[in-house]
Amino acid sequence: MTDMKTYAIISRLKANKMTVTGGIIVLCLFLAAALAPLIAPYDPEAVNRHSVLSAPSRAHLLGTDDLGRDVLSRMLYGAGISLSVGFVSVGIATAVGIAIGAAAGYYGRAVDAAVMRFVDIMLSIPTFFLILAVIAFLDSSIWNIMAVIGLTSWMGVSRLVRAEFLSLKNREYVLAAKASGASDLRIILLHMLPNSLAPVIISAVLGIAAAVLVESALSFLGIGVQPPTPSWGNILSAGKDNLEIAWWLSVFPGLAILITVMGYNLLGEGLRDIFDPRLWDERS
Amino acid sequence: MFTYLTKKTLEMLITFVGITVISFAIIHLAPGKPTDVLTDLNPKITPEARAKLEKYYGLDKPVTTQYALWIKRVVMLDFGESFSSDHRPVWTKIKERLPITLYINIASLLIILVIAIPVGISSAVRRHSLYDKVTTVGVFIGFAMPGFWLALLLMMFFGVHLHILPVAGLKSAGFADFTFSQKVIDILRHLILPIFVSAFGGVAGLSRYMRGSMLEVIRQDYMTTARSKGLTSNRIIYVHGLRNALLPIVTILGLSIPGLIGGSVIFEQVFSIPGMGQLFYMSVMSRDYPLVMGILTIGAVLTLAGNLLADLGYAAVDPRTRR
Repeated sequence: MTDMKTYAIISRLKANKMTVTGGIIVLCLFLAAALAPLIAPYDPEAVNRHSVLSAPSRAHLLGTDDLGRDVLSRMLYGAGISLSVGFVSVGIATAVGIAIGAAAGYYGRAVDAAVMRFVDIMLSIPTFFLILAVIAFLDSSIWNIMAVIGLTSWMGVSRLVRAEFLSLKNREYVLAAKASGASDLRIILLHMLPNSLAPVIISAVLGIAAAVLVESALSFLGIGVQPPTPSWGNILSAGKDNLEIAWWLSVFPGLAILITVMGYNLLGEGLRDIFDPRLWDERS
Repeated sequence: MFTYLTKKTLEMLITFVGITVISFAIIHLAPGKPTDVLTDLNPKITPEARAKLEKYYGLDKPVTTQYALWIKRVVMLDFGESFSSDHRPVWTKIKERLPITLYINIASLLIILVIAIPVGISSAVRRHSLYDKVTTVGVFIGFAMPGFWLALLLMMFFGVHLHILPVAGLKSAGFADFTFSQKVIDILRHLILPIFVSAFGGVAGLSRYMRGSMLEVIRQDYMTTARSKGLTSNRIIYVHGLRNALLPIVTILGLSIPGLIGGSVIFEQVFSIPGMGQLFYMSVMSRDYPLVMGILTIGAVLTLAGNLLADLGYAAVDPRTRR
């Protein structure tokens, strides 16, 4: 028994270590984005014809791009773009997912069947194709990108919320609320939703990681955030064009994406381990 | 078995209709009539092309009729004519690009399976060992790695730095004069990096799922029974455990197909591979709407086919579903 207990403590500590590491990375990202105007050594959009594609040096710690713009400054400002795309698109996805999942789980039967069919259909469309197609028909403003990423990634959340609601809807406190005449909306928002938030928060954190990857891929392909607005993806796009002469353009922004995505993933996975009561005593 | 097949076919049919409705809705995303926006954004469009589009989509008719007309053509693989200067039918263009995309995706899927399943099993069996820890770190990196960045790094290292692998296209200069075996080797050399990149993230994901699934199975009572019968641990893992642990993996494989197909846009663009993904990218950039719609639909059909295969695979692994 003591063995099991020690294991449980170790595993929660480990989970905490993951959460802490992830949290620190995300915090650094926030700081970089918030402090960019103060700490960035140069104007991120200032073109300088005298220092085109110069290698990392004391003047330009991470070098300059094909228009002589300082890469470090562009990356600091890019952190803000990455954060806002991540949070807004996941916010949209979470809101839609909760609404749809709650309706399915709470009303059950025909509503549930229809809604879950719709979820299956959305899951069968290659999302990246869908995003590109929508952007072809609209235009690639940052708001459209956030909306499209959000509207194509709510399915996981809706499944989670539905499953939680199915297991909650016959609990006594829900039945009691119903018997005392509370409206459906009130029961869903005040009684059931707060009790199913943990998995939603975890999946939202992991969702931000996915959204950051999609945004950077779109910007890399030249369909996402449009220059001169700096984004890690569009710096990498310049990196591809100058692959043979400017390694710094390809290495640093990609590393930033990798670390950021890893930060969100560590935070999400760590939170999952902490929240999951099955793992508290059973996990060896 | 018969009812199972009927049910699956019906489900697929509903999904197909749903996908086409969503795709069709995208045509109407653009504010106003699609043709109005076309002319604004794409001044190259001639009045004839515009008239053709209006006729093709039946834009003067009610929406339901428009959909009915469109779906009738789509089922016949008639996606209209491309806007590009060659004016070739959309389906012809897709048809010549599809095989290479399929080959690459199938190859990377096979590599994912061959690597991820043994890695997942062994890290589950040797849980908390150094090996397990190393693979877990590898998985976190694999999850977070942007595919296109990995592609850039590999191109930089193997192509620019070491000069041992080609970084773009499918064929070297002078390909036409090569002997057959030289041709095969040349194409394979061009495919190494693209296939590696498209398999990379999948290996990380699937080995993680395989590990979790195997851990779940190891805890089950029948595994304890097998152990107490005195069976060797290899036999327990690979005969009793694996088959059960594979079930959720088949489902996840089915779910990962849209991601693979969507990802082909990225690696085909990075490596300049003339496949369907690159065609899609070009059609998006030049706002070649008939081509965009055609590829979107074909991508969805491919996903459906993949899902069907996954369902059949599930039935093959789990006899219970066949009843």
